[in-house]
Amino acid sequence: MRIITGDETGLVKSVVFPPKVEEPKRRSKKVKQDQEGEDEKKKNEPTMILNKFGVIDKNEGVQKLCWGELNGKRHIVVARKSGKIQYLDVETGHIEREYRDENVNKESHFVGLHATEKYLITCTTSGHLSYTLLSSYNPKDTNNKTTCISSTLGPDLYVMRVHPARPHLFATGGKENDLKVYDANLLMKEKEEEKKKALVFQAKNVKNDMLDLRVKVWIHDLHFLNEEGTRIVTATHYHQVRVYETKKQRRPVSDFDVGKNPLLTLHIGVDFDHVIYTDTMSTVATVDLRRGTVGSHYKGFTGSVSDVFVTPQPSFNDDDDNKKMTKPFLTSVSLDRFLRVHEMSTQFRRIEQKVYLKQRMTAVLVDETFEFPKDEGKEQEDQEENEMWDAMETVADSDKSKSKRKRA
Amino acid sequence: MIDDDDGEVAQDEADDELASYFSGRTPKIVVTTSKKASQIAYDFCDDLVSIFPNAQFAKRGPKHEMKQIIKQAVKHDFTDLMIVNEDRKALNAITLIHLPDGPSAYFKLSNYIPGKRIPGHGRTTAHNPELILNNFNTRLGHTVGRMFQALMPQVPEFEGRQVVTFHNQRDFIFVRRHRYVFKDTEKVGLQELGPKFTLKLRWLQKGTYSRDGEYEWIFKPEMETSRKRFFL
Repeated sequence: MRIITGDETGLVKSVVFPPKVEEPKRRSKKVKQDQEGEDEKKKNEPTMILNKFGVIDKNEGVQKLCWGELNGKRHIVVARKSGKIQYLDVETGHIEREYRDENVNKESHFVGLHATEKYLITCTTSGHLSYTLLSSYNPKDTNNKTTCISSTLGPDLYVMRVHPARPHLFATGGKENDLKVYDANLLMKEKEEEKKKALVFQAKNVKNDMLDLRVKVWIHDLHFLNEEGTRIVTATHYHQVRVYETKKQRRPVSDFDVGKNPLLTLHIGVDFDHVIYTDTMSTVATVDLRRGTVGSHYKGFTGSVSDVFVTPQPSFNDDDDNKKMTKPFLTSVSLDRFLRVHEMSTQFRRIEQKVYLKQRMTAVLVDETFEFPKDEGKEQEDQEENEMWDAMETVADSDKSKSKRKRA
Repeated sequence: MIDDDDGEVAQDEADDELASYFSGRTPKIVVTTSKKASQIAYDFCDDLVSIFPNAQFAKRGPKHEMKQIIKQAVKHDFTDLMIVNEDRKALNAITLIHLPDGPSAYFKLSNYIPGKRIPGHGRTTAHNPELILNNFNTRLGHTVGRMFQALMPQVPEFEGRQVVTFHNQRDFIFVRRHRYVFKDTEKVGLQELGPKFTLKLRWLQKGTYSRDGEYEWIFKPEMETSRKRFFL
């Protein structure tokens, strides 16, 4: 499993952990260990591999990270504070492509980033949405701009998410900017009447509270929960988690109050009925969307968690075999400069790995397909040893008769 | 957390929010209290104003909210805001906010003894004191140490022979003030001046204080897993 992190100083780091070697439990009394032997053991044990890409520059702070494909190969797509969007090679960190979004500046930063095979989709807080055709890249031009298709998605956006299976469908939410679902195909049309139809769904605010006051709206994060894109979950600043059914009604189907602190991010958990949220006070917990209960707090954080990645990511088609193969892990990155990996398979939710990475990190990506390179030399040695043991004759039971004779 | 002395951290610190102090900006501190403070808080504020040169006291009005006082302090070009918290006639905390958009830290205050009650105490003078910061080793410790450093003027006046010490031991920060005299090349005489108190960091927020701000470090009792593990 390879983990890519992005931080506010613009560095992108790639971390690979070695698979853990299980030592058999020692039942006997503690034997004094040979100190030299232990040191040698530690040297031979595989250590974590850490690669650092980029230079420290606060103006190039990483805001969003996602996976993208270029020429059939998977790349890291980085959206930076200065408006640059770069495709980085996973192994070397070399910048394969660079785009620039002109709408990003001090007031307006990236709120959404998605890369498909054909398009690069970005959105900013000011509501400028860009769908850039990857094939229209000019390698000789130093300033490849993103093509903005709409600039009226509303001020103060905090999140834009594209449906993973339907790249033309996306949703936005923000401060006093309730959930809206758009169809990008209609947005790209020329005629005004067709453009108006692009707004597929607009949420309605919940009823007034018990004092008959309007309930404030501030969406921090949202996710699509089904393949058609009709079920959406949002997390608000006022610690509410809401589920919307776009075909059924404009008001949320369920509205749960979760905790006491503003929710910062939301992520899909082991399946589409569980979501993991993070808040400003270092809480990372799971909400069961069917019942509205909060449970499964992940412990060990000392600062607020800025990003989380669950592996394996649940997909819309039933991949049962896939799920059974890989153990579920929760990789998180927080402002206290640590990268933590929690295991999700047992009820204990123990920390599997914890690494100090020196910077306040803002985004994390996990590559599940990566396997730790096995030590080939060691494998050969093991093979030779096995062969040697197989070649030797086994001691037969005939020795027992000999010993009996001796005793007599 | 770990010790470090490497280039990445140095570069990060070179242009963080506290960098303006290190490029010459003189500190200007405003000290205030929580709402409805009593005489104990005002006495402590007097002591704080005497410790830090360029510090002023501002009375906290009954309707002044945190956000408003931060805004006013930034408007009047202050570099730091210290808020002394009092609870039932006993001092209990200090909130230190570096302005205009620096980190905010909340310390629990304990064992405060004003200068008058220290036996054999000396008299303070208006010279800029020297600063000693001990044991701020971890990354979090660096940030807090730099915040304290940004409270004192860059150039001390050595003729005053005064020194303010922030000594970190086991996550408790001891603040002392002494006057020193070199009797010969090996022996130093110390006379304690002014107040002494102990601080313990509770949380650190990036940016100025906001109820909904993100906490970079927050102390939770569940963190205290071992007696030998310290964070500062």
